[in-house]
Amino acid sequence: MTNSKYLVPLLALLMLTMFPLVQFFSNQNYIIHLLLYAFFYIIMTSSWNIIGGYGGFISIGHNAFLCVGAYVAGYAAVRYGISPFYLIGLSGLVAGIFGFIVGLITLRVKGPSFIISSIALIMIMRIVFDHWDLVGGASGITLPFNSLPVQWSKLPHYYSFLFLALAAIYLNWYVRHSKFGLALRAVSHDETRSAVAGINVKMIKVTAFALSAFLIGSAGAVWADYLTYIRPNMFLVILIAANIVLMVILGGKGTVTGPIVGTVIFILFNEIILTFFGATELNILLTGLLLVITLLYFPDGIVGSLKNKNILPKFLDWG
Amino acid sequence: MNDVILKLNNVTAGYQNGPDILKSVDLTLKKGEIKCIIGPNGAGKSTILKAIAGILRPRNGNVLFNDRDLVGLEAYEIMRQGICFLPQDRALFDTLNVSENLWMAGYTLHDKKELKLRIEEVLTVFPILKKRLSQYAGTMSGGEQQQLIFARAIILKPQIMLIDEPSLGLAPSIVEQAFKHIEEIALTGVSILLVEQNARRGLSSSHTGVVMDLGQVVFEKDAKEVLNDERIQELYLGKRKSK
Repeated sequence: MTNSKYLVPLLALLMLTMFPLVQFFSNQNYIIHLLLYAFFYIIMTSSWNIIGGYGGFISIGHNAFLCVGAYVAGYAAVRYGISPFYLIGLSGLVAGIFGFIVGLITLRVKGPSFIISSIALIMIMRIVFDHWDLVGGASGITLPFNSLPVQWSKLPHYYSFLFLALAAIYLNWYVRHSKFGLALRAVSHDETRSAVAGINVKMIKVTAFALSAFLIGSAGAVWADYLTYIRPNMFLVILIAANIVLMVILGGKGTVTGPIVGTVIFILFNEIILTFFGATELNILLTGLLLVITLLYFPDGIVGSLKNKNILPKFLDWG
Repeated sequence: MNDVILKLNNVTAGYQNGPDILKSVDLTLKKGEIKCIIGPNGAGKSTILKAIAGILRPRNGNVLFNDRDLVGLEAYEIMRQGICFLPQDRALFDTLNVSENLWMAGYTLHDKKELKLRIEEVLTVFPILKKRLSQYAGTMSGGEQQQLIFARAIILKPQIMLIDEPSLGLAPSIVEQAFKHIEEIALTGVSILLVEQNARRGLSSSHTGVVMDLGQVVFEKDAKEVLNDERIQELYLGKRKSK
């Protein structure tokens, strides 16, 4: 029983770790790109799930932290010549502290007011970054390329993202099963009741917000190096945050495996449509349709609804 | 019975920018005492409890708990001092299951083993809950929820319990059960401050009764005297004026 619970994820992890070996035989850079893109989004969805899923605060401004992480790494790379890979931790830390401060302000309100405040965050940051000459203003920063042959050039990003995705999933699992996570879910249900149960409501909310900002910021450092070019309008658009939210809702808010399932299905589906119908805007239309239909039959997201019906496969049941 | 544990001095409080709801209220609570506050709607009964629990910050005056002033502390800090507040609309987390609700009640207890022991202890007091550990609190019946509320309340062994409308929305037999629990808890030395719309029921389980109107304490007497006071009977207990 426990075997199947651990077997499938371990097997998947092993395959993903070994996958780049195909580069010895043929150039599969595109598939590697897709995989690392999926890891990248899993980091963001799993982190977002901490405050959005367990905490119940739907933020559509979490890409602000991605932007902060990317700019910290990008600026240091260009100004001081430090490789962004050494700055993953620092980028995360800066994004986390930034998240803490933002959280202190915006987490006072909830529901629609909070959603609007999160959108306002990216709009304010867009204006600031567009006019901030130190970090290149609207034209952004160009980072140095890495010197690896094209066959292997994506691998540092691939493994960094894989590692960070594992960290994000672990953090998600840990929060789900810890006292901190229990308090967070209590707060999402009712703040007054939580306060009279002895929870420091404000600290719990802000800590959860900062935690999710931390991992997204770390991913930003790798993402900046991967893109080799960062510019405010690549990060500070609602589309990225909307994608994160849609993926989590598709997979199941407030579950450990939901964000992973949602991300994989979302990206896979998008890719299939692009393959069959080309780069028309049909993929956007059909992705919307997929979401509507899925939520009709799985109102709590795929993982959430299967769990409610007790038919969730063992290997997806991590709480 | 004679040591004062909680003392309100001259407390004035109100919501946001609104008018004062409580106007210079003085109140004392003794150890092991059950005190019931009655009065018409808008008298400020619930507001008193909120002001003590720290959900509402008094504008003036002080709340002394064992001679320490509580005014200015956050709700969670006051709770950690040993004051348990049961809000009007069931103090449960509907979206958490019974076991999680109990763990949540002991949130401030850092000793996990001790908490586990105490949970087992309350489960022997409320055996029905033992069978329902994985059920969501929101899906239980009113009586079961009531048991869970009291189970949660005694886990931390508070010194004072503030209870807002224990009978609200419950079947008569469950109301009886709730007051039985309240009396039992008071016998263990916990002081209870109670707000009750069902004034007759509330007073008959209490030691003292407090009558409030328009944000002020009108008078305070032995619960039996309040029950038998003719003026009170006419005004709040629903007895017809004898002509």
